[in-house]
Order: sequence, then C-alpha cells, then structure tokens
Amino acid sequence: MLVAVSIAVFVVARLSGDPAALMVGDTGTVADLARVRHLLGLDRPLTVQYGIFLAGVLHGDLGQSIFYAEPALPLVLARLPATAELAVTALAVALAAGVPGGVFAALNRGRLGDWGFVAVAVLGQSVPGFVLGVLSVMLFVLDLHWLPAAGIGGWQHLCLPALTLAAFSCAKIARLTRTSVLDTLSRDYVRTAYAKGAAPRRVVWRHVFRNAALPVMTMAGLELGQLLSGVVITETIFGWPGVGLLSIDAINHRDYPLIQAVALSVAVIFVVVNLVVDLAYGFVDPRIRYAGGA
Amino acid sequence: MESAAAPAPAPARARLAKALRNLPALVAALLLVGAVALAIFAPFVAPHAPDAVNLARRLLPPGAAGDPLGTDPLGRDVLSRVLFGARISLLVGGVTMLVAGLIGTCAGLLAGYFPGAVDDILMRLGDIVLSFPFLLLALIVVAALGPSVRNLIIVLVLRSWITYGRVVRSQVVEMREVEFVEAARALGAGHVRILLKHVLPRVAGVAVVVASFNMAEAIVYEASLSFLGAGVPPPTATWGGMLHDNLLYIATAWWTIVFPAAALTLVILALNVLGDWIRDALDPNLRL
Repeated sequence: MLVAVSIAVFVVARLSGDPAALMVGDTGTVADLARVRHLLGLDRPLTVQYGIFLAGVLHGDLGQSIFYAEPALPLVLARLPATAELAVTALAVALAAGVPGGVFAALNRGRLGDWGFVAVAVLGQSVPGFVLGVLSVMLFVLDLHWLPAAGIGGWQHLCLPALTLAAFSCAKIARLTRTSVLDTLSRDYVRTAYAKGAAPRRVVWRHVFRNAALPVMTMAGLELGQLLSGVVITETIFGWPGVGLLSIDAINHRDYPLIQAVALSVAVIFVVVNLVVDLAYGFVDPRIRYAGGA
Repeated sequence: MESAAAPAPAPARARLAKALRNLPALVAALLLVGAVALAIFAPFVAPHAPDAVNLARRLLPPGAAGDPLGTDPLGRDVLSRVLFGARISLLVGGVTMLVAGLIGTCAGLLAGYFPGAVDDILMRLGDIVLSFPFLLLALIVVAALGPSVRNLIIVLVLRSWITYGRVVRSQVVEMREVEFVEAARALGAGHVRILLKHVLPRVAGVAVVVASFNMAEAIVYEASLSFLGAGVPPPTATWGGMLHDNLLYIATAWWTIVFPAAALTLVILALNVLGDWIRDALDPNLRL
C-alpha cells in the first residue's frame, strides 16, 4: 500500500510541470534550461529519479524544496501544527454539535424539532466551504467587526476558519447520528430493555447510544481526511499558515520535492488516522476485538 | 413494527403528511428543471453578453436600469454572468456524473461479480486515489494539464468513479449468491448476459442515488477549483470564478459575490434534497 502511495505521489508531482522551465523563465537559453535540469537531477531517467526519491523517503529525507532551498520535510512539519489545530478543532466542533443534535432529532422523530434539524443539516451539507467562508467574512468581519479576517493568533483567529471547516462535517455527522440512532431504536434488544422496565434515559445511553456510535466513529475518521482537503480552501480564504497554504505555494512554484513531501505526509496521516479509528472500535464495542496476540 | 400498534391517523392528516414529505423533492425538481432551462436558454434570457465589459457602468448596485443584479468591477452584468455560469456548473456536473457513473458502475459490476484479481486491483486503485485529499490532487493535475473544462472533468471523473464502483460492488457481492443468478447460470446464461440482464437492473437504482450526490459534489469541486483560480480560466463566467474575481470588492460590492454564491448553493441544495428523496423512496435503510 505504501509503495503504491509513494509511486502515486511521485507520478502526481511529476505531472505538475517542469520546474526548470519555470525557474529559467522566458529569457533563458536552451543551455540554461539543460544546466538547471541537470542541477535538479531532472535529466536522469524517471526510474532513477524514483529510486532516489524512495531511498530518501526511507531515510526520512524528502529532498530539498526547489523554491525555499531548504529540506522539504521540515518545511511541511513546521506547518503541520497550524493545520492540525484547525482540523482537530473543526472535528471537535462538528462532533460536539453534530452528535447531540442527531440524537435529539432521532428521539423526536417526526416532530417539528426533527424537521427543523434535518432542514438545517441538509442546508449545511449543501453550502460549499468557500461560499460559507466568504459569506462569514462579509458578515462577521466586515459588517459586524466581531472577528479578525485573517492570520493566526488567539481563539478569535481560530473561530471563523474552524467553524467554516466544521460546517459540512457537522451536518454529515449529525445526519448519520440521526439515522444510526433511529436504526438502533427499532432493534429487538432496545424493545427488550424497555419491556423489562429500564428507565428511558438508561436505555438511550446504555443500549442505543453505544451501538449507534460505531458508524459515527467510522465517519468521523473519514471526515478527518475530508477536513485535510477542506483546509486548502479554508486556509486560503483566512490566510491560515498551514499545510494547505503551503501546498498551493508548492504547486504554483512547480516545487516537486515540496509537493511530494506535502502529498506523502498527508497520505500517511490519512492512513494512520484510519488505522487508529479501526483500533478504537475495540474500546467502544467489546464485541470487536482483534483475534490473536500479534 | 411501531406502526402496527399505533392507531391509524386521520386520513386527511395522513395525506397532508405524505404531501409534506414529498414537497421538498418537488420543489427541488422544479428548481433543477428551471436551472437547466435557464442555462440552455441563457443567450435569450440574459440581458447582456456575459463578457461584455462596460467600464462606464462599473460596480452598479442591484436595481440599476438594464442590470437588475448590478454590475461587477469590469461593468459586466451580474445577472447575465450568473445565468451563463449555470452552463459551466451543470455541464461539468452532468458530464462528470454520466462518465463516472458509466465507468464506476462497470467497475463495480466486474469487481463484485469476479472476486479475486479484478476485484483487488479495482478496489486498491480506488483506495490509492482516496488516500489523497482530493482538492490537492485536483490542483496538481489541473496545474499539470492546464485549466480547462475538459481537464476539470477528467480530474473529477478520476475521483468520482470510485464512489459508484464501491457502492455497486457491495450490492453485486450480495447478489452473486442469490437464487435468480444461480438459476440463470444453471440455464446456461453467459456472464455478460447475467450481468446486464439480471444484475444491472437491480443495482441501477442505487447508482442513480449516487449519481445525484455525485453531481452535487462535482459542481462544488468545480466551483472550489475555480474559486482558487485553478478551474475554468477567465473570462468565462463561472460561479466559483465570480467569487474569485470579485473577492477584492467584498467590502463594497456584496452583490457581485452573494448572487453567484446563492445560485450555487441553491443548485447543490436541490440535488442533495432530490438524492435524499430518491434514496428514501428506493430503500429507507440504504446508507450512502
């Protein structure tokens, strides 16, 4: 899997054009171009280039950024905390608002609260992230002057980007929670629990919620990957100095090593997150425990 | 289960409830038909050419004579640009949906019907594409191929077929062991005939549900890429591109931003509502 990902990263980065041509510019001669290509190692066969790349990856060395003239991996790592802060806050907001909302709607199925909830959630899923970002800047920054527009700093700076990023995931998580709880409510063991006289609150928490949580957790893990895609937009709108903004930079400069470093880091994070989610099942649901001591 | 014990509601109320349940879908369908019609007939409906620059009439607010939704920083009519923008959005969304739907459904049929190597290769391919944040991948590929409607569609199809493939595959896997497939096989039907005549009709509904969400998603991605300046190149009017172009005037000319944003959101909303409705009508237990 990781070999496949590394090949994909390599190919995709090569797709983005010739950095030498961009560096030499319109005024350079063919000789200049050849010299720069040689300097960057671009005149060697692709298989050799891939071999060098792979060997580097195994040593934790993803090469020099062409534009910044610094090692690429540290550049990415330096930007990671800002993106992590944004993405994790957004996911936390999405879960904190979406899960109770979904449970509430499911328990009030068919009533006005449920209808309103579903309507808001469908709307939340339908507003594109950049539209929400731009409109919220118009409202909260330009009109009401409540919050700063861009940059990184205290919670005021985090507020808009995190909420913008969270909106879509929140709506998705909320709707999934609702369906999942509804599904669980109709199960036999819930009826049994009610029949034996358990208090409704106890039934909801012990029997319904724990069973309904599984699909929601899977989704939350996948959403973190989605959020990493969303940060590209959010970071651009709000000038948030994270990996998303760095990747736009790297693409604009045709900075192969940096693009590779960004893409590989993000892909690795994605795979690790999903692994962690898989392992976390065992804690929530004791029925799923991985067999064998290995 | 619960309805068996519950007293039957009064007929009038039941009818009202049923009508209310279908109302959003009806509105959404009308809205989409309207949007498609406006997009097709944009040259006849729009008051101006979408790219007609008129520097004497820059940044007029909505309600100006001849420019009901105002003009942008180059004096172009916002209404006309929104109408023509619908063409790009619906074209990109529609073509992506059709091509990805075709490829993805075939891939899903094959992967589900032939377990083993075919299944493994197709699904691993999907995993790899999915292990990148899509927007990043799209930005890189569009930067490589050059921004254009065609290249956007290529990138979107690259991502979208997997969704169809996975959903269709899971349906086919369940169906493989069902009696009617075995019966057809026993009667000597070939693989192609079984897939096309017996399996395909039973997965088509699910594919349609995926298609409606996929079209919404494709339109959002097109708009997002155009917003980042990596989508359809200017001066072509696109909803995302309008937000990109007019972002500098965000504080002074809200109408250059709000109207394309509203058009985009409405179309996405309609597609999502319709997708939900088809899914619920098909099978309320389906999770997509």
